[in-house]
This record gives sequence, C-alpha cells and structure tokens, in this order.
Amino acid sequence: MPDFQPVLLKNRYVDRIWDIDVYESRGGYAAVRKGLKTMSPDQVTEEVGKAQLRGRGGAGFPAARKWGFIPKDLSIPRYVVMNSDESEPGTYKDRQLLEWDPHQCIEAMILSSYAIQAKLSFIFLRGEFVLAAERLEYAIQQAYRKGYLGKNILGTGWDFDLHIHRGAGAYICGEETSLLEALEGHRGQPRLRPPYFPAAKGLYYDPTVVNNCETLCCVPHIVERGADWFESIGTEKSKGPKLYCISGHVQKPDIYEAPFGITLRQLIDDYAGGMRPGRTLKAVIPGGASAPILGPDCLDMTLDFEGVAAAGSMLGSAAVIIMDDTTCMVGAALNLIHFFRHESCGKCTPCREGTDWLFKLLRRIEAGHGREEDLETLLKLCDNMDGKCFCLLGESALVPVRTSVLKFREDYERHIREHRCPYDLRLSH
Amino acid sequence: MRPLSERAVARIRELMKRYPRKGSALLPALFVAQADHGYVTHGAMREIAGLLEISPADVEGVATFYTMFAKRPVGEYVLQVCTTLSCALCGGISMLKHLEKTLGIHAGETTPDGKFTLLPVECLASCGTAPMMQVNDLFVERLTLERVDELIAELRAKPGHFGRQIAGTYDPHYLGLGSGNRFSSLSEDNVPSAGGGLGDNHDLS
Repeated sequence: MPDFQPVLLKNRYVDRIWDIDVYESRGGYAAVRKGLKTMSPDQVTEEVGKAQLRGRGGAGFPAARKWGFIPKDLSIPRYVVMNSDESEPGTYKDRQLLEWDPHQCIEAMILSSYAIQAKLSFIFLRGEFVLAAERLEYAIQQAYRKGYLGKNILGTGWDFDLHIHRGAGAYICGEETSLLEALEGHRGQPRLRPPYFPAAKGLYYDPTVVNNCETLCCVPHIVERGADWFESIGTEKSKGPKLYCISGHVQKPDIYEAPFGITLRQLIDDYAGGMRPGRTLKAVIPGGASAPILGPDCLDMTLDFEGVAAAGSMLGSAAVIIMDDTTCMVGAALNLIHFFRHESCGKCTPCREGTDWLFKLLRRIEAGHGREEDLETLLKLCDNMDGKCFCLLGESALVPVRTSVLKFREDYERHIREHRCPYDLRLSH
Repeated sequence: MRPLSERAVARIRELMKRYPRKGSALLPALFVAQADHGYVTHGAMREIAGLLEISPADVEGVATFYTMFAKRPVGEYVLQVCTTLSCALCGGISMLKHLEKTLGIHAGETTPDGKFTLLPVECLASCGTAPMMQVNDLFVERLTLERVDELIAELRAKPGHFGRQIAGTYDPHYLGLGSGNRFSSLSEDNVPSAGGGLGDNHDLS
C-alpha cells in the first residue's frame, strides 16, 4: 500500500468528531477562516479550478467550470445543493462523510456557497440516512452558534443559511434535476434538458450548483492546502484523493481512500484483503450498478476516469462490486434489473416498460424456463432502450444486462440447457 | 382524532420558514405527519395541503411516489432488508427468507400481533457491511442468521417505542440526541461497532 495520508477520511476514527469542539481541535474550520478572510469568492473558484477538481458523483465534470456558469449579477438568487442522495448500488461513501464528519460537509457548503455568493444552500441527503440527518442538524446548529453560519459571517458582510433536506426513498433523485424537483416538493422526476446544467435553471429555476458530497468535501482541503498540493495527487487527468467503495466477495469490504489511479489489483489485494480463500475473480462492476460489467482480465486497469473507460467501463461513483466464481451472472443481472425496474420513475415509456420486460425475461431464464431466443430478445430490448430514455436511469438500466449477456453468455446458455440455475447462491427473491 | 397534532402543525410551520417557497416543505411535512401517526393518513395529507397552499392531489401524488411514506399502518418494528446486489452476494436473500420463516409472514406483510413489518428494500448504501437491514431508523449491519435470531428475540421482548420515521421531526430532544441509545437494550455485541465500517448507528450519546 503506498504511503498516503487520508484527506477526506482523516477524522474517520476520531471520537465525537461530529461535535464542533472536537472538530475544531483537529484543525476544523481553518479552511473557512482562510477562505473567507484572505480570498475573494472568485479566488476560491480559481483555486478549485487550478486543483482540477472533478465531480465524484459519476460524470467527472470539472467542479469549478460548473461554478463558473453562475451569472455574476448578484441580484439573481443562486444556490448550492449538495447531492448526497447516494443510492447507486455499491456506493456508500457519502453516508460515511455525512455521518462521521458532518462539519467537513458544512465547511464544504460554506466555501462553495461563498464562491458563488449564495445566501441559502441545501444538503440533500437520502431519507434513510437518519443518523446522518440527526448529526447534520446538530452540527448545523453548532455552526450557527459559532458564527460560521448566519449573518455577517466572520465579519465579511456575507449572510448565509444552510439547511438539510431529506429525500424519501427514490434513486431517481440522484439525477440532479429530479433532486431539485424533490427539493421543490414534487415527485422526483427528471426535467427536460436543455438547459443541460442547473447552473442555468436550477432550484426554483434560478442558477444552482449541484455537486456530489465527496466532490464538495475536497474543497476545504484545496482552500487550506492549496491547489498545487491537491494537483500533486493522482494521475494526469484525475486529480486528488478518491474514496473507493469495495463490496461483494472480498475479505475486507470497506471504503478506502487512495490517490486516483491505483489499480483494481491493488484495491483488491493490498486494501481489501484479497478474494475469499480458494475463490477466483469472475466479474467486476467498477462504478456502481450503471457501469458495464467487466471480466477477470481487467485487474490491471487503473481506477481513474480514463483507466476504467479504456477498459470498457466507467469509474462512476467508484463503487467496485466484486463477484467470484460462486456468482450466477443471470442472477446478478436479474438483481440489478429488479433494482432499476423498482426505481424507474415512470415518466418515459422506454425505461418504464423496458425495465419491466427485461426483468420478466431474466426472471424466466433464472427460473429455468428460458428459451434460446430469449437472449436475442434481451439484447434487442436493450437496443430499443439505448439512447431513447428521458434520462440516464433508463440508459443505465440496460447496461448490466447487455454486458452480462455478451460477456457471460455461457451462464445464460447453461440455465436454458439445464432448465435450472446451476449456482447455489441466491441473488433474487 | 385530529389529522395532525398541534405539535406537528407547529413543526411544519417552522420547517416552512427554511424555504423561499412553502411547497418545498412537503417532504419534511410528510415525515412529520408520519412520525405523528405512524403512517401518513388522508386527513394529514389534506391538512398539509392547506398549510402549504397546494392541492391535496399534489400532496397525495408526492406521498405515493416516494417509498418511505407508509400509507397504511405498519408494525412497531419495520424491518427493511437490503436485497440489492452487494448484500445479496453476501447472503441478503437467505436472510430475508430466514426472516419470513421466523416471523411466519411473507415479505411485505405485518405480523398479526402488529409487532413486525418485513420489507425487502433496494440498496441502503451499506454495501461494505453486508448483509444488513434497517430496523425503524437504525442500520444494523454485518448480520449473520444467528445475529438476526438474537435481534428478533430481543425486539419481541421489548415494546417498540419508536415510530417508523421518528427523525422526520428534526427535533434534537425528540430525536434522542444526547440521551443515549434509542435501542438501549442493543448492546455493542448485538450491533456491530465501527471496526472499519459504518456500524456506529447505535451510539448517539
């Protein structure tokens, strides 16, 4: 394991770190003091730009460029919304950040809101994250009392209010326009694009920056330690520290913070304790359920945006799901399509109907009633959804199905030939 | 019975102040209503519509869209078992089947004594501590079938004091912040502690 000091997780095992006194004793809020007292809002954005901070939610879009889209005319209300609706299967990093280090999230919100001069911002988190919500509420109250939130913060003349907003159980709200709909009190269904960025029309159709929790949590560290330090970590195009969530068939599944660009082999063997004894790697999902499934030949890809793309998948939220040779790939695809079918918001037909058809076909194959022509029907269905869905949910739903049929066809054929699932491990209910 | 208690109405009015537009308070208001009665009643939805100045149809449309709002009574303890891939790879499905057998109900049902509701749910962002389930508001992680049995026995013996979404009120006193564990009988042995994961949910003190 390379010598690397955790950045985002540096407070992970600190007792009561969610209390502001403990957080300050560990150097907390130094970044807010430095940013607000010695830097102009534009300088904060420039520093984040120089650090080449890219979005950790999945798309990898440069954060400072998003911020740069916000109009300079301060008479127009503007907002920052932290996207912590973490629901992508395999992903559990934002919950870690919210529960264990809520003040880091608040610092991140203060600095990013200062950069675009927002007067009101929201942390949007999954409704199920009750502990995180409690700790954040508590932490926000403390930050108000200490003068980091509220009127005339640190004597700068800038007023700023911060609130949390809980979702209520809908994966689609991770899609940023659906998230804004939920924040406005509507059903979480995506808005028509263009405009492509909420920076043009966001919350209440005003300019809004929506960034992932992990992305924003990098900001206080960039402000405090400088863009040059941040930029010195990682690969040529993927800069900074990264939280890797590894789950499934490894000995020590957990969140590991490492510089961008470690290889999958390193993540499995050096960090996660390797595969279970006597088992071999069969399949990997490198970036959450929406990422194409890879076979065991991808062990040496680097886990940065470019490396995973070159291997034929995407880094996404860096949620790495490991499956060993006990895994039925039909069952795995069925499990994931069950998820997407459940989470489809119902707005567009290709997604609503497509996920249901894929589910029914896969269920039939898994139960041993599949027919040979089902495989072509599955692929055709995927083609009929591809590029035709209203938002990325539908576009993502077909990906695990298509890649598992193409890469693990033998598993499918065995189900059809033997009229049963040849594996013991059940992956669907 | 009034659709919403006075306390709930006061809380909703307070929450409305957070937003530039009243309608934004709909999700928080529904959580408050749910904490009030254990589920979201039609009367509560109508009263919320009045408070937020939106149509009752809009409120119902939203309440039925999101999975966290119960539209009918649920058990004292709602067991939400994660069945998505990372948990399923680690035995989440057999855990669900085991619970069906232990409780004598199918997934989605409530036991006749009103004690337990068993729900299979999609990914709860606890993939590194699989398999897991959420018991009311509490994440219980790194489960084994033995641990599940212990937990059920413990919950059976203990009256459930907590509604499905108590935290919807955001009230630090109501939430138990600073007042110790909500499931005080769950010792650290029963609820896995940090040890590299996220399992410190039992500790709010």
